Amino acid sequence: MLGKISSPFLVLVLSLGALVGLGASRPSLQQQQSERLLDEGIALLARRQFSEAINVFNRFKQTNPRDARPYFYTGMAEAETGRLSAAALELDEAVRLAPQQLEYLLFQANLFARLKQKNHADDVLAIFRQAGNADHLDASWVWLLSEVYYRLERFDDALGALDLLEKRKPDDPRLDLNRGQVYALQSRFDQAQESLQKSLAKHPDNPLAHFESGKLLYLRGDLPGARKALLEAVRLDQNNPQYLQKLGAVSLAMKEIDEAIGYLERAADLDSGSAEVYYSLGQAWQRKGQRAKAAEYGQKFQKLKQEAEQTEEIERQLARGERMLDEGKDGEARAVFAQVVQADPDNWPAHGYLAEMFLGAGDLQKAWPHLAKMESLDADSVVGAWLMARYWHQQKQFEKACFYAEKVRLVRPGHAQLRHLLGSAYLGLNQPEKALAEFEAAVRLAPERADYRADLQRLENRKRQDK
Amino acid sequence: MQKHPRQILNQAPLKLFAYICVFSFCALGQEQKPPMTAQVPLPSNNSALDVAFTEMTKAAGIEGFRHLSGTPAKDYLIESTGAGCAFVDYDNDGWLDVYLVNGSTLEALRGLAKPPGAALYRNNRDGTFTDVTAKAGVANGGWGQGLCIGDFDNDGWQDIYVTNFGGNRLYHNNRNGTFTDIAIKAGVALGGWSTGCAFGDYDGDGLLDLFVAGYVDFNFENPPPSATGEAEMSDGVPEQSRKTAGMGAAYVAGMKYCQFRGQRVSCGPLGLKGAPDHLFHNNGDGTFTDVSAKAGVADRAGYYGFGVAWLDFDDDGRLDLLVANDSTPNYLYRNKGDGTFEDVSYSSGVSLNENGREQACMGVSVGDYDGDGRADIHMTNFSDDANVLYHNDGEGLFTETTFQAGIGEMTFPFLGWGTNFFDYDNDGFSDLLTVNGHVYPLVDRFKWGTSYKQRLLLFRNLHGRFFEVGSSAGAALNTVRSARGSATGDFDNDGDLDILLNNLDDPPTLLRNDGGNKAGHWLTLRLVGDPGRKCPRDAIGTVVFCTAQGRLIRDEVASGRSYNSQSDLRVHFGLGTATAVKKLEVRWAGGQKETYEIKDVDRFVTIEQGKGIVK
Repeated sequence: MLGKISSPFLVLVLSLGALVGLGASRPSLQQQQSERLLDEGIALLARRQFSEAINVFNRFKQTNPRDARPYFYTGMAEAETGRLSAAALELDEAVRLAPQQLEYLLFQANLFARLKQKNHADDVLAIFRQAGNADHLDASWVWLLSEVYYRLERFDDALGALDLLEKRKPDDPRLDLNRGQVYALQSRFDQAQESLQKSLAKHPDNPLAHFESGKLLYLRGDLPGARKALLEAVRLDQNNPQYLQKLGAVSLAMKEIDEAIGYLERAADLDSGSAEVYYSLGQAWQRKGQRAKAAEYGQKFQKLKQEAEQTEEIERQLARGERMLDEGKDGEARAVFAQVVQADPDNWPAHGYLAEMFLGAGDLQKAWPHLAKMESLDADSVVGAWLMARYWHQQKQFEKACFYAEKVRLVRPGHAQLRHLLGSAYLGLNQPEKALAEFEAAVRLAPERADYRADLQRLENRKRQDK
Repeated sequence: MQKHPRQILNQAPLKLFAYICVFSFCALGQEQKPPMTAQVPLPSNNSALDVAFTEMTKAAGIEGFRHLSGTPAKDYLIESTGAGCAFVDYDNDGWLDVYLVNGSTLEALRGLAKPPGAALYRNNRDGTFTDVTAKAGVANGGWGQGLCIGDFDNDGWQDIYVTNFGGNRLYHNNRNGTFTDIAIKAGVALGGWSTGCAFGDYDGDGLLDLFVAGYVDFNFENPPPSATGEAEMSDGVPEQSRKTAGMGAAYVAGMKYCQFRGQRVSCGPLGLKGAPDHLFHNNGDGTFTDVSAKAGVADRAGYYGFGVAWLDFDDDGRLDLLVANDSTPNYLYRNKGDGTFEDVSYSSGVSLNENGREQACMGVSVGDYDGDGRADIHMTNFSDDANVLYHNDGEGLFTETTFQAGIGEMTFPFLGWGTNFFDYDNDGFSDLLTVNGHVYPLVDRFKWGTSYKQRLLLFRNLHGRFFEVGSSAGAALNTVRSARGSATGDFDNDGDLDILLNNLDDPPTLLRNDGGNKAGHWLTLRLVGDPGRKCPRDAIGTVVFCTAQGRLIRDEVASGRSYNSQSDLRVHFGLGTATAVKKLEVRWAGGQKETYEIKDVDRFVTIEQGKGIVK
């Protein structure tokens, strides 16, 4: 489903024009300047200059901390660079600030789905159940909706989204391709084949459609047909390891062993992390009677598989720790995270949980190694910087606390707790003006916090007394 | 305080893990057309003419048996695995009797209710059966899983081994219509969760040894979360990182419930501790010794064993061992001939599918589907995955040929259990039966392309390629069932093979083959081994090669197989138009070979090792 004919990202960015001016009626000069900044960021985004775009959006956030848009765009940029967790954080803030914005919700669901957090994604998509909500989306967003449903294995909903798209652009060849993919997963093989054939008739140069067709024909036992389709996919996209692997596997099934080895070795050159390719290569060499070579690939396969299993086990442990945290079983959670760190010393989230728990308990000595490790693993992490700020603040090392807190403020100026901590750190550095500004921001962002108000009041009183 | 580093900057914490059924297909009763697993199939052009199966359960008088396994909610895995069945001639009258294993309930396990009990039906030789369970003393009473047949003491009478969740039974045949459970005395009772079993003489001493597969280390005192009960969906579950396509719901320690496609279901087997497998060496004095570890077949990895088959895959005259494992790689052990086995699971190619992925294998069948004289393997799998067919290439290697052979597409939405290679139309090619049914009752509420009760699949073999014949082989094949165990055998001794099913929470199914004996000539062999020549008396492990009209057909005397079931121990050959067998080579268990020419077919023949055709 995921291979679109043109860049889905570009299409989404270009379709964002409509969002830019939302709620803006006769803007002031300052607002106009801000909007220009946002436009600049979007233009950078469209040119795939992601870090530059993020810098511009962060600048925009400083003057517009309650505007959801820069968070949304930053999330898009982060997602495009593969930092999905960071992107999800940004989207979370965007959705908090603009909870009814359908595109934000959809993009958030997309991120959750890609992060394999299916339940979160399902929750977010609830809004599209309401009649007509999907109708309000631009076509490119409906494509994304169908894709998210597909990822979530909500096949009927995915088909529904495709039906909606058909009303708008009935000749789009992607419709049939994506339908074919969905039907195949639903074991509706006749319909799948028909759809893929339609897609290919409209767009014969789409390698993905040939690939899907090849997979389906193989599944249906038509080996020569499958081979032909896969050869075409490989002709159109010679460097796709997935296509080469499947072509190799089909050649192997047809007892064209040398040919199979050729395709599989090309696939292995392009993707040395595919256990499947090595398994097929092992089988191929085995059939050629070259057991030593077969064993060599067998070992590679076993190694990759073992690594994948270890990664999965760590993910399971991490999820277990998270669940215990949710249930308030902090001690047990801490033990689980410690196990994760032991098994995978570079596991950033586990270090993060442990650091946060020790910080919360005031055990700074135990928090430090985890914080240091987090920083060595990802110096740009806003979460890491926030925890560091809290650590140094508790150590009363206000200069360092300010250093890290300012890093966080750059990307999250609307975070009341941060602004309050920053104010307190500036106060510790005897910079009351800066402290006052931060305390004011904290109170503005969280007016319900009596403690923030009290701190602000105290500082204002002190200033008055000083005068 | 925000607890989660990843959410530490989130000022509006996420609603954690709450599941809301929001989509249209969640609603009941919206399915317009039944899924393929429950549809009446279209007639097939590839079916054998004038061969059809007729439902005989009621007429045969075995409809009184009703399998029972826990509650309809199927809270725990144990309630869904069902049980096996057998065609066995327990009274040596030459007619196949029927044995049906039953499940149980939690109340019965705790002594608060009467267990449902297994049933033995004696063949009245007129198409009907009589319930002789009480007299025979084989009601079991445990939470039955499966069985296998073998004459372990070489007295000429079939004994029955029944696997349970709990202690197993070894019913010794008293030769007078009764049995005595000697499992404890014989040292084969075990006590965990046993599933598939098979007798076979692995060390060539003429005595049947016994292999028993272990499934899950399960305890009702400390069970994993149930499919229903107190936990609420909003209580939270972790995201499942484990790849579970084509497998059941994985459990992670501490989970409040398990999920399949976002729905709460019973847990496992993934995530639960596996139970070990056991190989028992027959001491020849009515007792057995557990030699699993010494022999190298103890399942050190803790995989979830189901179907079991002894087979000689490398044709060296020694029985090798195959264990179909659920959700974990399968085992294939090559018999080294010194009392130990070499694990060739991976190198042989049968541990994983062609993509290097483990499958949720349930039942196993062994047969030569392409007439090359070698033993091929078929195993059933979970839904969203194809059943798998491994072609024996010789030299210890197998190639997966599922899709080339025409089995893949059709089996995808089905969740398969019992499976049998058998030549239903006597054309000389091994056809293939798979019986099906899902483990999660709630699948019927969703458009998942599958159903809880499913029809069976009968594939006709046409020169090595399979074609599902659907309703062309009788309307009885259209009925949807929660089938588990399956056995084949000629219960009416009319020269064609019939089908017996054990259905979860339902009466069994007896399908009579009508017309198979007219569609092609046939020959059925009863083989009697000579323990003095190191062959067990019931000849289990003996392989027969039949050459007729220039074609080679291979079959064997086998204990166990399918899904924890037992088929006819007689060897049946469909001969097509051949009216004679030019060469019948019997490779007796123990290694001796004898060759015969059979001039008259369409009959039952008894061959005794060293004596030749005696009847």
